[in-house]
Amino acid sequence: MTLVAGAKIVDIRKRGSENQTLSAVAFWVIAAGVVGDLVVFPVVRLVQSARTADWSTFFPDVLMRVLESMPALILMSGLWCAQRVFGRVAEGDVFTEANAKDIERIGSAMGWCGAAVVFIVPTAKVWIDHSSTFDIDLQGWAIVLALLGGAVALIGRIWALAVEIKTDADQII
Amino acid sequence: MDKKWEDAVIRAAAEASRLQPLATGLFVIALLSVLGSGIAEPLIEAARGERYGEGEAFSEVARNVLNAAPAIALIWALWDARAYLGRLSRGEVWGPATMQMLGNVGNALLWAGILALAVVPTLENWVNGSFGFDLRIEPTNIALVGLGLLLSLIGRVVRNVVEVAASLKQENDQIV
Repeated sequence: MTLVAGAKIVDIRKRGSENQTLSAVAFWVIAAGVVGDLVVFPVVRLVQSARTADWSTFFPDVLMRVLESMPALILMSGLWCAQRVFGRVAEGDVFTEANAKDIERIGSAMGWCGAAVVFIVPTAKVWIDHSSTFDIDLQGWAIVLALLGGAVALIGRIWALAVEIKTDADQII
Repeated sequence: MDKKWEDAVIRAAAEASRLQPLATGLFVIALLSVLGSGIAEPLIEAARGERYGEGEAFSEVARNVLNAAPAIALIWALWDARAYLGRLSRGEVWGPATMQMLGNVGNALLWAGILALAVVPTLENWVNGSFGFDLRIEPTNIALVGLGLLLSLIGRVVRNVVEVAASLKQENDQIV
């Protein structure tokens, strides 16, 4: 392996450990925000109005919120994968299949998020209303996001190719 | 091993050439949609005197452009992705485009999230004549900001990974 490549790998690890904490904090803060919005706030509101509260609407309300937040929850899975990549890179595991797979998963998460906004959530809402048809909400940003997810997944495959090259170079040495 | 690399590059190129026309088509549709329904339609209707007065039409255009701002940020990334897919389909795997792609997508998601979260609601307030700042805190916007931030950071790592792979590949080719 050349000195340049060796120095770059050290640089990658350094970058990974610099960003590991930031990515973990970003994930948990956002996760707390999303869960708070989905569950904690409805519970707090119900508790505050305990005497007049209508508990029969609580679970349907939370269910509807979870459904509406499905795109965000799917993106959260991408965030989880991103912070795992930083965790591995910080430990020195840069050229691994797991990292390549996680980048692909981030791309898939973007794709599924787009599908959820355009098709899955609107259709599920229609089904909850006891209708058995399909519904589509053609939101441009979501369709573009899905396609960008495809490009990100391709980068994951290129990372996998880099892993093969690195493994091969190590075997030669 | 060389055969294996070539096969992998060909597979990536084939996938890129499938995605590129889709990206181009989507880019054109998205742009026409923003320009058509967001800008041209209110102005045409105002010119015909149908729905809006002249001043109202400009306010409507401003509102439409503002609402479309997060989508415009993503459309910008789509333009980059389209160019990148073109290069990848020609077999340029280890070039600077691969190094920049993920960071560009990350920046676009970050901007789309920030625009939807804070900039658009605030400017909408201003267009509607009331002042002050506003936030539209929705889980999807927050997750977009987070994922955009992390993708931008991973983009920097990818840059180094691609550089290492390119130099190792070159070294290996020289040995062979």
